[in-house]
Amino acid sequence: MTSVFSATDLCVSIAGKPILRNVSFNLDQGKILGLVGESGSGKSMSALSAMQLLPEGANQTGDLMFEGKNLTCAADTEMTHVRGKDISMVFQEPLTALNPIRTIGEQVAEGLCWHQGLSRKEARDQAIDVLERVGLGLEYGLTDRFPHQLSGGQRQRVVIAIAIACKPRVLIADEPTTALDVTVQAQILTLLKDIVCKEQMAMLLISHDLAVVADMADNVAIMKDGVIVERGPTCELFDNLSHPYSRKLFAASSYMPVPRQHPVDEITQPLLKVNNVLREYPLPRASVFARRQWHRAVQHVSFHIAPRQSIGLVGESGCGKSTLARTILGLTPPNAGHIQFLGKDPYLVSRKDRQDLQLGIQAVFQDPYGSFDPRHTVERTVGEPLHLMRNELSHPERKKRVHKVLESVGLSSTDASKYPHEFSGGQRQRIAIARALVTDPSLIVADEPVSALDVSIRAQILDLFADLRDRLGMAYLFISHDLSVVQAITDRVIVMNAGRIVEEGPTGEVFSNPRHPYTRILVSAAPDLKETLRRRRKKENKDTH
Amino acid sequence: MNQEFPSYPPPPGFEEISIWKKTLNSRSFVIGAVLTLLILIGGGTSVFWTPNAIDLLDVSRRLKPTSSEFWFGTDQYGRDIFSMLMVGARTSIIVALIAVGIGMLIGVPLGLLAAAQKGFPEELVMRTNDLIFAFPSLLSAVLITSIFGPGAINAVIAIGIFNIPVFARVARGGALSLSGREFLLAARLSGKSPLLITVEHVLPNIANLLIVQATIQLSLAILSEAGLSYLGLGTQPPMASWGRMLYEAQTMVAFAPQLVLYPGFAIIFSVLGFNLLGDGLRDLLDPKMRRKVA
Repeated sequence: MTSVFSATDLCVSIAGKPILRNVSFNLDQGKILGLVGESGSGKSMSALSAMQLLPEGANQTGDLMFEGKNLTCAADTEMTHVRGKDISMVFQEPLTALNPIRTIGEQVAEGLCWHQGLSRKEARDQAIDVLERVGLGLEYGLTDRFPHQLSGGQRQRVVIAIAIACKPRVLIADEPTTALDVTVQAQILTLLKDIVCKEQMAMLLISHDLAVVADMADNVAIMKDGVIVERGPTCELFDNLSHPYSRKLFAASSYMPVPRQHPVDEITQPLLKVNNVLREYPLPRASVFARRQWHRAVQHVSFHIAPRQSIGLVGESGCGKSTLARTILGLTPPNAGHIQFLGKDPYLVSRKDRQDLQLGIQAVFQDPYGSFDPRHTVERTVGEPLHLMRNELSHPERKKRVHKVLESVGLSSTDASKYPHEFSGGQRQRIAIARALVTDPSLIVADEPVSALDVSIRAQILDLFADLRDRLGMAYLFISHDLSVVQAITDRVIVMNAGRIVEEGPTGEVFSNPRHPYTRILVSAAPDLKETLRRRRKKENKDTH
Repeated sequence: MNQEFPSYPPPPGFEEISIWKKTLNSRSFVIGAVLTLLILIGGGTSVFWTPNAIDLLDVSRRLKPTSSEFWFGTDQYGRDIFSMLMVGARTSIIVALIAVGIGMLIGVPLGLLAAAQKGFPEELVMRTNDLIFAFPSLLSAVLITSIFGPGAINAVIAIGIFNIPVFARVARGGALSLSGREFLLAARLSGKSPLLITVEHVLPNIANLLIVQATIQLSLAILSEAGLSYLGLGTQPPMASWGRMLYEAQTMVAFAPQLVLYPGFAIIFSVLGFNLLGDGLRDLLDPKMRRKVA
C-alpha cells in the first residue's frame, strides 16, 4: 500500500489555545480515511491544516508529506500549485462553495486553465468531460447554467467536479453530504466512492455521522478535543471500540429512548384534526403581464392526532412539512381546508379564544441559536408564552412557573437570569423545550428539534422528549428529515412528498414494511450504523473465503 | 436540514478583551468622542456663561487680536469670536438633535411598518422615500425655508424631513434581516401582536444600527444647518451660528482670514467628530466588525 499523503504530529494552536494535538494520519492510494467527531473536535481544522489553509494567527507544527515532498515549510505560492491540483477539497454547503455569478462550465474550467495552462476552449472541453464523470453529462445541458438553477444534489456534484477536475491525488471531503437530503446523500456518497476507486485517489472523509463513515471508509479515526482517540480498519474498529468516548459516540448514534409504557387510546376524540388543508405561495411573476403562478406547498393534507399521541412527519426538504407545521401552529392560514384543535378552528374564532387555543399548542424550533432573542434573559424568553394568559399570573407566580419548567427540562433555576449565548447547543434546546412547556400545552409541534445537535446531545434531548411524554402526557408532532429520530420517538408516522401525504401508519410498520415507493427509497437511503456494519462484515467474510 | 452548527466558544484570543479595552483600542471612537465632547461642553456652557456677550456690537474693539480678554480675538463688529463659537456650537447641536430626532421618530416607525406590512403599505412608504431621496437635500431645504420664511425652526423641519427616509431605510433593512428568525415566530406563538413584537424584539435588535446612523446623520445635519445659515435661511441674528459667521466673514477674508478659519474649523471638527464617533460605535457594536477592533 502506498501512502500518498501523511501528516505526522500535527499541532495547531490559535492565539495560544491548542486546537489540534499530535494528530497523525496517512492517506493511502485508492483508500478512504474517515475522520469522525462531534462539533469542535478539530476535524475541519485537521483538513484545513493539511491544505495549509489555517486562519490567520494560527500556529502549526508537525510534518506534512505529499508523495515524498515535505509541505510543512512550503511557501504559500508553492502551495497554490498543490492546492486544487494535487490535493483538493469538497465543501459542505454547495451553494456557498460555488460562485453565484459564473456558469458551471466556467467554474469547472477555472482550475484547468490555472493548473494545466489550457486555453479557454480546451479547458471548456475538458470541463464537459469532468462533468460527465460526476454524472452531469451533456444531456443535462448544465454547462452554461448558474448555480442557483441547479438542485442541491447537482450543485454538490459540480463541487466534486471542480475538486477532481485536475485529477488530484488526494481528495478531502469536509461533511460533503451534511447539507443534503438522505436520498441525495446516498447518491453523492456512491459517486465519491466510485471516483476514489476508479481514479485511485486517496480520500479524507470528514463527517459527524458514524453511519456515513462506516459505510464509506476503509479506515476510521475518531477525534475528540483535537486528539485522535482511536483508529483502525472500519469493521475491526467498530467491533472492538476501547476508548470510552468512542463507545459513547457509538451508543449515541443508534440510540433509542425507552418506548412508551402505556399505549395511547386512539379512539377518543382527536386533539387535532387537519382536514384537507391546502396552502399555496405566490411565485414571482415572470413579467408584469404574465399570470401569477402559485406554488402548492401543502396539497389536501388530512390527518389527526389523539391526545398523548406522538406523530412523526417525515419528508425531504421542500416537501411542505414546515409549512404544514406553521399552519397547524396558527401562524399561516390555509388557503383551503380547515384545522380543528380541541374542536375549534383557530383561524375562525375570536382573538381571545385563539389565545386560549394557543396555550394548548406550542412549538420547538430547529436552530438552537436563532430561536432566542439574544437580548432577552432566559427567564424572559421562557416566560414569553405566558403572555397568552393575559395577566392572570402575578409576577412571582410567573417566576415560579418558569423556574419549575426549567428544572423539569434539567436546567437549574439559577440559569433563569442568564442570556442564551452563555449556553451550549444542547442546553439551548432544553431552554426551547422549556419555553414550549411553560403554558402546559397538550400538543407540542417540534420542527427538526434535534437535527442541529451532536449525536451525544441528540440522545439526551430525545430522552428528555420521551421522559416528558411519559411524565406530562402531551402529544407531539415531530417533524424531521431523519428517519432514526422519528423512529425513536413516535407512535405513528406520516410520510410527505411534494406537499402530499404518501403513506401513514404505525411507526414500526411503516419502517419495517414500507408500501409506497417513495417511503421505500427513503428508508433504504437512510444510513443505519448497525445495518451498514452488518453488511460490511458479511462482505468482508465473503472476500476472505 | 441536517446541518452541523459550529461550536460557539468565542473566537480564540478574544474572550479576555474587556469592553473598556476594546473601546480604548478603537482610535476612531476615542478621537470622535473627544471632539464631540468638546463641542458638547462648549455648547452646553454657553447656555449660562460665555466669556463675553455676543449681542454687544462695539466697533471700537473691532478686529482685536487674540488676548486674555478675547481668546480668539474679535470680529469686524467687535464681538468676541470665542463666545460666538460657543453659542454657534449650541445652535448646531440643538438644530441637529431636533432634526435627527424628527427623522428617527417618523422614519423608524415608517420603516418598521414597511417591513411588517408587505404589499401596499411597504410600496407607499418606500416609494415616498425614494421621492424625497431624489431631491438634493440641501436644495430642497433651501426651497422649504424660502417658502416658509427663514429661521431656525423652519431649518430644523427642513433638515428633519430629509432624515426621515434615511432612518426608514435603515430600520426596514434591519427589520427585514431579522424576519424569519425563529424567535419572532416564538413571539407570535406567545400571542403577541405585531406592534408588541416590534417593540420588544425588533427594535432592541436594530438599536445598534440606528444609533450608528444617528451619529452620522448628526454630522450631516450640522453641515446642513451651517449651509442654510450661510445662505441666510437658517439661524437669524442676533443668535450666533457657524454658517452665519462664515457668511459675515466672507467680505473680510483678505484682511482678517482668521474670521473664516475659526468657524470653518469648528464645522470641520464637529462633522469629523460625529463621523468618527459613528464609525467607532459601529465597530464596537457590530459583532462582524469586532475582530478588527480587537
